[in-house]
Amino acid sequence: MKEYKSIRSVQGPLIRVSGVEDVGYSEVARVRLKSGDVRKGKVLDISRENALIQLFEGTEGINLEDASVSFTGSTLHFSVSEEILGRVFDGIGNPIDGGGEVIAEEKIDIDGYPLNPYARAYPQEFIETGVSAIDAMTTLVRGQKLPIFSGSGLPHNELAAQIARQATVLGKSEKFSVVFAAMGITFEEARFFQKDFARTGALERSVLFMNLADDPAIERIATPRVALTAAEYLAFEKDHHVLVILTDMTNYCDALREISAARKEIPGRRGYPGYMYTDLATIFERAGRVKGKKGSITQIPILTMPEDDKTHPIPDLTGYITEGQVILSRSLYKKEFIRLSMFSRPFRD
Amino acid sequence: MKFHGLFGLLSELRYEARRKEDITHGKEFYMKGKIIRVAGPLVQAVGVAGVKMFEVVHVGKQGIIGEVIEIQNDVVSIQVYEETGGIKPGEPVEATGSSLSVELGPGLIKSIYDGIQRPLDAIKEKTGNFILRGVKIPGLDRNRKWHFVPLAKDGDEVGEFSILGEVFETDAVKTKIMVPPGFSGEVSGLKGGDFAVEDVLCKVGGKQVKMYFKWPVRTPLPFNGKIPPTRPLITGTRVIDSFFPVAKGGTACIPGPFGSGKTVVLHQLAKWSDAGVIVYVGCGERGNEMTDVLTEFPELIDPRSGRPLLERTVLIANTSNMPVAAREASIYTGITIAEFFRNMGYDVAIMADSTSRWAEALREMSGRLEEMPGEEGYPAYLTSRIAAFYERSGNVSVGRDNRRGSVTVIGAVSPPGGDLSDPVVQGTLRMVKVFWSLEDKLAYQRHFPAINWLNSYSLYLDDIEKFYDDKKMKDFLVLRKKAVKILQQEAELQEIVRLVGVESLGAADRLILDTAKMLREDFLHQHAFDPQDTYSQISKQYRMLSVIMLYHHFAQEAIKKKKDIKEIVNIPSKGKIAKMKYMKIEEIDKVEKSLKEDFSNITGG
Repeated sequence: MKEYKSIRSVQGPLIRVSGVEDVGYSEVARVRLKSGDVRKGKVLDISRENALIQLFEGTEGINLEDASVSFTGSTLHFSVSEEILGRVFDGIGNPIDGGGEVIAEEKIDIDGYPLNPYARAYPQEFIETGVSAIDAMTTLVRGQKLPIFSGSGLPHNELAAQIARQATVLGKSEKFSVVFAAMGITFEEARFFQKDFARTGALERSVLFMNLADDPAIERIATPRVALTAAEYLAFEKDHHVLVILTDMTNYCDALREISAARKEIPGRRGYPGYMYTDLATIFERAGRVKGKKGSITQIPILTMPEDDKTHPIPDLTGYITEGQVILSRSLYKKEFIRLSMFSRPFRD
Repeated sequence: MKFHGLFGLLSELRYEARRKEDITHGKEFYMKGKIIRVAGPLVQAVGVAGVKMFEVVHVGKQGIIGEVIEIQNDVVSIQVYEETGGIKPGEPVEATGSSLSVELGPGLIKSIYDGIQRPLDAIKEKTGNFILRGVKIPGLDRNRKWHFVPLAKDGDEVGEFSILGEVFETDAVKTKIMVPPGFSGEVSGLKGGDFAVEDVLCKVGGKQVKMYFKWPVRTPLPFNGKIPPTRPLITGTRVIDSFFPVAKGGTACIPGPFGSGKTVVLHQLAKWSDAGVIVYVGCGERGNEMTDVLTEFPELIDPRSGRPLLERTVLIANTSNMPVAAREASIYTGITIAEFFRNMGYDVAIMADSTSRWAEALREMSGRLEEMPGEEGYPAYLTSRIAAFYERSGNVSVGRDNRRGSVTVIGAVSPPGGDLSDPVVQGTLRMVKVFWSLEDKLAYQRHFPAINWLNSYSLYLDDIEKFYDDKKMKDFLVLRKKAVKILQQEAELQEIVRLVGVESLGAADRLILDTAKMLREDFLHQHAFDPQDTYSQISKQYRMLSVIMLYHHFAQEAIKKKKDIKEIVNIPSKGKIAKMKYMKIEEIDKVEKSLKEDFSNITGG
């Protein structure tokens, strides 16, 4: 593989390499540091002379003389097989539980392809979450995407863990699994989920993707996509009913803003890029059911609203894409009610 | 620049050489260039000198579809309608010589297309449940045979859009086969029979005419002239038809924050509007909503034709996860198809959900072209693009027989945080004549459709006055005016009530609060999922409104006679008034009768 030593600039999470040949857009790049460290990145902009690479793992320690770049010739893929159940991965899909590489049945592009609207089946089948406020007031349906809008200090993690633990469809014994993607949450929060899954025996039917607060922020861009690639595989090829928990989407959006700022793009509201709606949609729209397939993907993205403000761009855009929302209420919580104010789109049965 | 100049010169020489070669071999010749840059949906290429603005090009080895949006010297910028992952500089770019076009002919009805008129059902057959790249499928099925019945005959002198014959497409829609634009002269060789769209139907002025023609989406389909709109589009939704009607050939916009029920309102309009053809454009919205339309519309029956609603519907679905550039194109694809049916003489309604997503697609491409931004990062040409889109609506005359057709444009807008100062909302409000203001507050109070009766407006009332006169509903607009006034007075009185309580109000004012409450709850509130209430005929709306206003009139009379307001507002027939929305129109007469009895008891006793 050809190695380029021609890094021209390093700026935030971005590096620019000149003189590259035969490199494709969105292709994975590897940057080798003098220390032997290898970091993964993705091509964001490619012209005849230059490639702009976004590094998932930060640019600390890179200098123009010693670092070298090679291109892998393919976009970011994730190796899947049913063995991924019970495993823990980092934010871009490398195993971090010491269990070794997954023997791939298939390697799938993490960006996936848009689901043909014609192939979709309408969300159906009520999921009993066991959370009375959700089951009675709004309902969670297989194939739906129902976000939890929360604020700092509110028990959204407990709620998500409770749903993951209890979510069953009445009177059916079908393959059910949980895909959990952590983006920039703290070690303690992550441990809470892991412990909770282990305690309830949910761990062996879960796939965990961990990008914690001290992990590289840019890696988060890939995390929900890797997680949904795993979910799509389990749902549409292995007939699982998959519940995907994405937490915390606010951190994801902040990472998106960071890259946008580094690229000197014209900022939209509150500095978030103008394409954030499209970007979020490519994540949330990967929920659903497909005609003629047994499995389904149900998404519960969690986000913390800055200052509990529902009109902040992150909850605002999320609300436009998702189907209903659960809003945790600070005043109800203080009154020792847990939660909620809610709205779920009416799905006809 | 020097490099480009030299490169340009070389490529031009190569181009000339190839062109000569191709022409001598009698081939259609198009230029091939090379990609020099890929950045998301934006691709730049050189070596396609002579390519036109908005010309369609095929990009990369897979030949995915793109459109030229900027030309600078030798470098052309292309917006690509599919994902560009893996595409490399150096890969070929091929010009096609034509602009982004749609195929107009039989087979459009009941179809579901993506933003650039590729049939999604055919894509599913070809690539499975997910949409892979580089799929090229024509918009109209080439194999299907249509039974053509001629309406013109050999020797007729025809011009653009003269009707040659018709094809029975569904029970609800007959597709007229028209002389394509640019053709005129004498008809020859016209005969009936079964034809595929590529078959030659006849000759007009010596040129071959097929069942379909192509038309560039960014150019309005020609017509003779515009006519002021005079007929309302009856939608069956009371707050719209009675309070804020839109005319056939008019424009309306419906902005609202998420959760306020935009999509439900648009679906209601798509279901029940008395248009001949509905074009529904799902532009950057949820996939499940399109599935909803696809599963629900075949089951619902059109109250006028008695046929499933899907039989008059064309769907365009470019959901939010589908490529962003095709989203930009989708509303043009939609309106061009709408204009095609308009030219046949149909009243067409097009719903675009949501134009904000289209504007965001514009913004994204503009940002990548590094254009100077206007408000909120939107390009400075945003308002002129919005204006150009809405101006394609209208009530027009077409063809030599000057037949009438109309396109009504209804656009949803999704302003961030529900903030109406958003540039897309403001740009739209400058153009449209009807504004339905959706409020999430009303939706949370379970008032549906959550259209605010104080902010919304319609500027078509004067234009359509005659329609009501003709339908023997002469005082409809008078009643409407009174009702609107009562609701406005209610809003003012509520301020006072909040401060000093309802007891301090006089009888006349308390009656206003009472009637306003009836208007809100028994008239404006409408249940979209109730089989009887979901669609309210215009005559029924008129009866309902007259009964409520009759109550107001009687009550005013009773107050003049010093009758107790408490007795008036508690008359027994009020329960019946509340149930009018679930009644058939004939039963409303009984309600009116018992209302009259109640009041004669009060004033007589």
